Amino acid sequence: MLSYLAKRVLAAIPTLLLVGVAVFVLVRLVPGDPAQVMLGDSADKESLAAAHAAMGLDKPVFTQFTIWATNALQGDLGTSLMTDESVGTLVLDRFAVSAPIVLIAVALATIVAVLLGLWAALHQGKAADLAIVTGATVLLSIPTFWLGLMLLLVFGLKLGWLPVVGYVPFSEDAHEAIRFLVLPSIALALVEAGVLTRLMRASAVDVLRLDYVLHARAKGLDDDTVLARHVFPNAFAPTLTLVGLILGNLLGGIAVIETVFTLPGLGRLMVDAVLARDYPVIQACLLFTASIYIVVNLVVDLIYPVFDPRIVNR
Amino acid sequence: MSRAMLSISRLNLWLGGAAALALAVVVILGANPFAQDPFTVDLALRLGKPSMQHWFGTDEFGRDILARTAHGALISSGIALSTVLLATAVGGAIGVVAGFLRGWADRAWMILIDALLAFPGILLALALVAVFGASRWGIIGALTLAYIPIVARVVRGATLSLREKEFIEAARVSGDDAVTIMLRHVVPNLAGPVLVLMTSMFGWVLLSESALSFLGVGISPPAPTWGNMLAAARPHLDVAPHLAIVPGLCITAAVLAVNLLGDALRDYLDPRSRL
Repeated sequence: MLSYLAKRVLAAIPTLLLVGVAVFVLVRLVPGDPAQVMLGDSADKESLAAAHAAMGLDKPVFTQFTIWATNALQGDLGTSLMTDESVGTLVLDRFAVSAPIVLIAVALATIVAVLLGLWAALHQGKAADLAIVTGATVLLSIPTFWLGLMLLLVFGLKLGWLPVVGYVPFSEDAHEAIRFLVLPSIALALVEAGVLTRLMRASAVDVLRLDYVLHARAKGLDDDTVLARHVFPNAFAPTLTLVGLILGNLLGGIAVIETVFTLPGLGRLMVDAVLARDYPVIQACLLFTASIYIVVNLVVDLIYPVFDPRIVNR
Repeated sequence: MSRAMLSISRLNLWLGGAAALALAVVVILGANPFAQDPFTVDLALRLGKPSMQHWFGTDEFGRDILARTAHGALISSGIALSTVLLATAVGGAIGVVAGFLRGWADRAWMILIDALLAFPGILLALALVAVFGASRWGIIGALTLAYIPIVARVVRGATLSLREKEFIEAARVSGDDAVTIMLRHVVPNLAGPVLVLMTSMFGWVLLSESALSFLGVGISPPAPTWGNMLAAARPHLDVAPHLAIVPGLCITAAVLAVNLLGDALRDYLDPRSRL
């Protein structure tokens, strides 16, 4: 068990390091001189040289990377070219907006997928199964932002149940904050629920065929107990891995959802940074989301044995 | 194969066929030589409702939505096709060589690929657009680089299991060198899984490209794409919802058709994986 955990944790380290290298290299790929891009075309020679020295561009590339990486590890990711704010605080502030949406969406998608997937597997071949599988396939083909727009149109504009634009932080008014988060979370969750439901159904169908399920039924356990104690844990293990991977889609999809619902989150920050070519912010957003993604998938790997202990011995 | 599975795949084929047909009709109606021009501005017809002249209505500049949707289909599918072909060629080459030769090169490639796969969703493509610029080839380049790791991973996995097969062993014993074995024996046997992957990927790239356009970092107006049409429709959602409904339905229909086609293809090539 311990060696399994250690192996997983150690495997994440080179990936994190390379993510850092990739983020660093990305900005070097930009054609032209970063200082020139920063200062604009009108900059004179002296200020360019000063900017070079300030950005460390006069040093060898490897030294530049070690300086950048050391600073990044200490939480210093530079200052935004747009606003002169510290990039670290900027990213964290914006992440506070995105995090609840992503968390609610993951929870919602997982619950919907587990329930519908098990239901469909139990009624394999019946109308309910057909409806769920087809519905899931349609859902996973809908672009998140269009689903968001349509929810906005129906529940925001036509029915007037939920607010259309804007945002209230949790710290100010929790009830109002939730009203702003409902539609974005549902829009994000529904699309991913399609993917997860199909996987949950497929793995539940496989598990239901196994002998120990037949044995559990034969010894007189009722359907609910068989499902909860014997089918769910085994069928959920592959779905759990996908939940970790889907979190990646959500962190990527948050950019479009925040654009639809005009939320000042991390995704929108990155899009604005791309439009303004604010490279320190682009770097920080990439580094931050990739790190979250790696860490979450590491955690998923670590709790996987709870549902399927066999993995430890492999 | 049970009756239940048969009816699901049959339903899926009907649904996929219907979606593809609907889309083909839109493209033929909107992009034929007698159709409306997608760029003609007519401010008298701003946000016009569907009419005999403009079947799907007109947008915020009075341009014909049917024509723009149809031309958007051509632009978006062109970008998706180029991306899929390029990413498959480069990612496939990396995957085959790494998977077949194994060793340190394989390990190095895979660490790099894993690191690239750690950038979630469209974020890598988004950042790359900042590097390449938002031209048509800039977007194809960004999307291609973002999808290469996925192809490389899948192809490497398939190659790993192929290289242990007897016919590869036979080729090796008969004296073929590594390059010949890869080209003559490994690559042809990868055609099935790669074709399935390319189909799914076409759908993903369509979604990514429309998301980039929607965010304002994709193909820029006045050239129509489904994504930038939706972005332009957003401020007028209240008074003219048809601006947003038509392009959105088209993206959904296209991705659904591709997904269902991919499912059918996978079932046909590998009946064990049937859902």
